[in-house]
Amino acid sequence: MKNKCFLLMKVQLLGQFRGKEKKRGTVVMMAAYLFVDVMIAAYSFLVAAGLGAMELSYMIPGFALAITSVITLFFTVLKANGVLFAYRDYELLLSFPIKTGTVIASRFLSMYLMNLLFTAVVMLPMGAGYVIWEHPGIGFYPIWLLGMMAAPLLPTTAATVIGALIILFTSRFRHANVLTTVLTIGITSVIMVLSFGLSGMDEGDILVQELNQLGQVMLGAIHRLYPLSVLFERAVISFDMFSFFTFLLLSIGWYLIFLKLVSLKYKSMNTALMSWHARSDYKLGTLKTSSPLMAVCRKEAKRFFGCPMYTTNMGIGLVMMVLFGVALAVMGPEKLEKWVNIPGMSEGITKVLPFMIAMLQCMSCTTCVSLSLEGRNLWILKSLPLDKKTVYQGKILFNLLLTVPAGILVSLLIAVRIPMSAWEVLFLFIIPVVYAVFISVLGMYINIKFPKYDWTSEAAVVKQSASSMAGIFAGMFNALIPLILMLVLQGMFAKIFEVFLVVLEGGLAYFLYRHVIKLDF
Amino acid sequence: MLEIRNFSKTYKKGKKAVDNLTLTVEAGDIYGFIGHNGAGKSTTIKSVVGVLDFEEGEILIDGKSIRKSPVECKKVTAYIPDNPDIYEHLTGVKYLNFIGDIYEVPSKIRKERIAKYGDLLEITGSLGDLISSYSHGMKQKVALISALIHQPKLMVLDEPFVGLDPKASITLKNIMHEMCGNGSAIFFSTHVLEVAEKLCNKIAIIKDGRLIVSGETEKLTGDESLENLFLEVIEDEK
Repeated sequence: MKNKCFLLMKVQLLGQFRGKEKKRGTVVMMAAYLFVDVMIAAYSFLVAAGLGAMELSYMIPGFALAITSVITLFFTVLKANGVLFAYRDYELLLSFPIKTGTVIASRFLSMYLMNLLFTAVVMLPMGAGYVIWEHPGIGFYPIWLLGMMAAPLLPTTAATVIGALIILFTSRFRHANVLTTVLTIGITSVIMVLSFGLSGMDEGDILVQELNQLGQVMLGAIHRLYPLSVLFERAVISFDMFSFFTFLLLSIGWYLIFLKLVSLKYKSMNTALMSWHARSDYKLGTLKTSSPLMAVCRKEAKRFFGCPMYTTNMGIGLVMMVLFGVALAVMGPEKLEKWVNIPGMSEGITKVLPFMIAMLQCMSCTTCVSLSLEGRNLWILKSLPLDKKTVYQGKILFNLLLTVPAGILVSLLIAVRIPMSAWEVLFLFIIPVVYAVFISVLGMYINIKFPKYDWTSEAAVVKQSASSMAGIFAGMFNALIPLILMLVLQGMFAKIFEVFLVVLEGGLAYFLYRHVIKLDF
Repeated sequence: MLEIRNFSKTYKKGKKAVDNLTLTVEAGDIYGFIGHNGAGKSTTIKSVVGVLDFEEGEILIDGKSIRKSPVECKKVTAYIPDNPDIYEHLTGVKYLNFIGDIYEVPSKIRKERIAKYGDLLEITGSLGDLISSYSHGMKQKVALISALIHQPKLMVLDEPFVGLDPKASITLKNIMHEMCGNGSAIFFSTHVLEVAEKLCNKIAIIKDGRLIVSGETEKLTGDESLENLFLEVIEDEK
């Protein structure tokens, strides 16, 4: 079983990371992964160093475990279904003389490995920070390493269970895809909101003067966020072997129970998911016509909303943006600052709000993956009497229809709630719109340059392709760098900078568009 | 209707898939393109319909070059690949409507044609369901209707009879005859020699990327079967 499991996992990972992508697409993707990993590792070490400097280094184990587990849970819920259920080679795999449990284990392990990589990138530097400040004994190292390896098990299985329950529920309905998307986004939003709420502190907490008391309060928040962190903490700090083995037992035991239960229902779940509702009673009615451009745009919309993996991963940025706007409008900046526990957030927020909206819009750049998602259907666009310009325009238009109204809505909510000057209100609307246009065009350019058509699961394109990584990072940094600069610039300099940015982004969008429409796909 | 002149296609790493192919398909022809696996049939077909780029030779559809005027050529052409991967996130009718929008077929006409071919192929009832719920044969039928919706002058098909049930196969043959009677041309690849022999007035046999024989079916086969002719010419080429 072990050999077949690793063989299947190897084939799956090769399929995700090796394909007909051009070499430089793979290089871009690996470079992006490396960059992100280095940034996260550096940040994690700084957090540990900060806690150490405040004599709160005893918080590091619990904090490291809690933060990696919650983030793992959040991101795995978004992708679990496409990896474990309804993937393209499901029928082929099940026809092999391999136990169902082995197939499930191999699919699960590939998710586990990706999550372990993230966990290691956070926990290794934080562990190094703990060593520097606490000078633990030799027993620390195996506990930390084994704990790190066990850490992703529970959140990964929890996320998979959530995904499985969503499927079991929604597969009974005709519009299963829409329901799956709504439920997945709803649950991940709840996870995000709860994690902020549970880890936040009350007004009374902030008044605590003594650092060690503050540390206890923060530790309490971490324990509320992720109760299992108590066991890991005791194991690391006090070498409590009972707590350590309980932690390991819970993590591994939960995984084994999950594997057994899912094995029993795996085929019926996938059958339910892949057996679509077919009424076969259609009667031809009036057919609405539209221009080729709108036909391409509508097709894009159907593709987006018809695929839960695509909708949840590309739509989550917009959902977060709208939630943020609603929270800001309802609570106001001061209350929101306390709730999300980001000190100083309310000061100078009006200067950076346009860029925060723009950054979240950039996370929803469908154009950086929409060409790749044509996949095996690419022959349709190539054989139809469609100018490539119309194809690109249709895809860009859809992304704009998705991001611009959401950005305007959020800008409106904020403008109504927060007192701002006329200038600030004007750029609150202009900057997100201009950024949305630029990132839509840039995303299209990136996908033309780094296509990936030979995929078996949308996750390989939406989450792991060079174009999705490049698009998201380019978009984020495009908004993040001006956001940071705006925190520093004051008065007339800030205004001049904003005008300069609008002209720059608009100009870049125009010239890039003129170049894109000449490229072949 | 279709002129292929000195067409060659070499893939990266030097593999020459088609070598100096020349043939002509005239209005009214049902032209069979026959060859073994990997002979270069699909490469030729994909280059004709503009799915594959090529550097050597020329392909003219209704007198226009597919390289220089791709959109004009595609407006009068319809293509059905051997494995019709069509948009699974759309219903059958939405897919057909999408195709109708691209070819700018007026609403009333496209409705009439969808109704006509949907009833002929016995799939109208399923057009409201998602394509992801269709069997392979049903997808092929929808792909076929999408190819007929704009009444193409040239229809190019890659292994069209694979996966079709017997009744649908007969219907497809009748549709082909009807189209050719109206002045269109059909160019299709097949492995099924009996179908090619009965259906095609002209055939071409390709081996390892090179054209071996081409011309009117009756003149080429004479008293022999197409199967014997195929085996003979393939053996002669060894």
